[in-house]
Amino acid sequence: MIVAALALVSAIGACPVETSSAAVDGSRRIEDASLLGAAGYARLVADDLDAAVDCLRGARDADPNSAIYARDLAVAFLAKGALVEALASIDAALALGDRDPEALLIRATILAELGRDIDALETIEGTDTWEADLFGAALAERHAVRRAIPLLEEPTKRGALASLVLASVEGAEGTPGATRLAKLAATRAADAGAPSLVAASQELLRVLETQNRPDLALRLRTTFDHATNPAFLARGREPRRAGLRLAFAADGRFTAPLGPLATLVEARVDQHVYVVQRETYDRLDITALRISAAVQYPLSDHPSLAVLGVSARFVDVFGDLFETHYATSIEGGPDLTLELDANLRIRLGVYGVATDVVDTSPPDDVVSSLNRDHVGQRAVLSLFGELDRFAGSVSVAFLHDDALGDAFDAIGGELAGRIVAYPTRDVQLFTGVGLTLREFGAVGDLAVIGPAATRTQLRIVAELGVRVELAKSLFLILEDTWIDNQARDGHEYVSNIVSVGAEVLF
Amino acid sequence: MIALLALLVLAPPEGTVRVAYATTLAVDATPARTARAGSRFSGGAQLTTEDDGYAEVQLGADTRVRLSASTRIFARERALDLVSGRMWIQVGARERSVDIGSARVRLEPRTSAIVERAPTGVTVAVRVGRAFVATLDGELVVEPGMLAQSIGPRAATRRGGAALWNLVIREARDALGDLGGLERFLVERALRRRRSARRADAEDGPFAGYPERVRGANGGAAGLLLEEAIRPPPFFEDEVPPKGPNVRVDVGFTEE
Repeated sequence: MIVAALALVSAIGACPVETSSAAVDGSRRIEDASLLGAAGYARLVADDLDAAVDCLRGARDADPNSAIYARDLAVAFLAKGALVEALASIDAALALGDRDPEALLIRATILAELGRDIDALETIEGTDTWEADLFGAALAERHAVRRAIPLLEEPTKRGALASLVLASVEGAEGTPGATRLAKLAATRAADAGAPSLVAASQELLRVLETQNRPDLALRLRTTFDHATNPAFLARGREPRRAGLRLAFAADGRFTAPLGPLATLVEARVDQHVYVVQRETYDRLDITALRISAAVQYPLSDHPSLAVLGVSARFVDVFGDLFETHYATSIEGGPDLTLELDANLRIRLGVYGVATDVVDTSPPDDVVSSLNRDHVGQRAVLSLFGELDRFAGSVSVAFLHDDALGDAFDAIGGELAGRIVAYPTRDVQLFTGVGLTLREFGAVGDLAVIGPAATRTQLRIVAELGVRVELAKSLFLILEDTWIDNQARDGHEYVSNIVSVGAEVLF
Repeated sequence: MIALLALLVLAPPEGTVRVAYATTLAVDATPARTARAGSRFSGGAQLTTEDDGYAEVQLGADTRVRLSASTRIFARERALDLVSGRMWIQVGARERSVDIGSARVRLEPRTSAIVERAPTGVTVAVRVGRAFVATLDGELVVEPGMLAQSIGPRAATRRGGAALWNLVIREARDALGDLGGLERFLVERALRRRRSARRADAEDGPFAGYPERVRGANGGAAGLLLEEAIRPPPFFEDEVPPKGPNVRVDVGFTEE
């Protein structure tokens, strides 16, 4: 095509720039303009940019009311790297009524080259073409990324471009599946006979391989927590005393790619120290350890479209500097996450739980002496969504615990919703509600004793908080958690915990 | 006034060929010759793209017409005829019309549309602006995101046209190259982007949506486990009947 274009250019001869100034009337001027425009366009297609600019500028000067010359001139300036002139020219074309999405895409490209990505995305908003989708995807706009995913299936140059763009976006997120996409891009480009794209894909693959290194992130958090009922005493166990504690938490997250697998290990250590009522609550100076691990495998070409995972978690809680060992819990199982939309994911997880309550069987009148160690199952279906300045999740879960003591057998369900709002870049507001309905028992023979053999409890939790970024990676935390366990007299309890503190991310 | 408007609408398409690959141009009875950039396309001219051809024509000052392969257009004295094939027409400030056999497609100013004539019928898809398809049965209005199809005497509109648009965009890209610099931009961006810094955040992680979030425990999973360990039990001790050999037997031996 390029050779043919060059032949055309040579056939039309040098650009007759001077004829435009010789025009004597409107119709002649327009006629000259169209000839100049055709000459300039042919040179533009042939990549003879200087001549193209000369001709198209002449055409535009001869007929400044034509959007065609203004758009073509913008393209020529863009190709030359004269971005300011390009932007002025495409804006002129738009002002003259050029409403084709092609013109908008040219404007968006110029803006992105100028570093104005947000303006670029606004320019192509609502432009329903695959070119606009790839452009938006290149700027990591999530809806555009989602719309570009079907292009991965195509054994065409377009499929290669889509694979390349999405590989880059996923690579920036540290997704190991990005290398798979880059390899797909190389294959697609080779199939489509696009050597430049093959080279670009291989270059991206090299970049991704150097970037795909293990990564460690840390979080430190310190808060003062005021808890109205730290020991979760039942209402009948008054007087309760509020407690004030200093809470430290340290989170570490280690991610490492393992071929196409994403592996993640998280560890968290919590330490609480009661600063008042120590004689009552020193046994609640907990030291807690949590270790989680997960492996995720993308089932589709695009690494986030369908992901199969396996997760496991170990939690151990001690009190009073390891004098008391409260409980140990191990849980884990497979989950499947599907991306339903650019902003909507669904996850189904089925987990097994084993909990060993070590030495906290309290006095008979407070807690049953029956063994509450249990194994159980959880099936959790969660929806995760994002919309502009909001992110949220809704989860429903089935739970079943089989305890060594019949009184702690439980069957029930959970329903929870959580929403996070980002009113500004530095502020995060969050709130959530969770309901857990459990039926405990049966103690004795249900057929003989009837409903009295079981106990139904409803635990309601609400949280409300704000997280403000005071300085880079330094956050102010203010949150309130309200826990209300509704049960029979002597079993119900309420606690409210207000936390104020700071968090640092590394 | 109406006559003047009609004259404007039906004005002969004074045009200029801007790009032509494997395309021939015939004027009146003269033999067809290879079309070139700068060739005039006006009343009586017929432009034909071959099986591997492509052409772009400018009509007047501000209408751009792109012809797909195997397409023929004819400039009649007062209108543009689509004899066969597919054209992508971007209309400027002046309304344009395209005749297709017994049907006429009228394109409002600032409209971008695809008009296709196949042996099975006529298809009109609009991306921006508005088109009116006049058939023997009446007139159809085609708006952005819509498709009008006329097969035999039947004509109807429906949502659609995206596939057709993607096709003409790809044809233009194949013929004209990366004219708007999109491919260059995409490749540059893809290679320039670097991995962003990751930060630990309690909201993420393998157990997002799982119990401590569902149950909203203060202190996360550890807080929930502590609560479960020390909370009042569902039954009082005296409500739990003894079960099985729940008896402790101490055995001692004395030396006698």
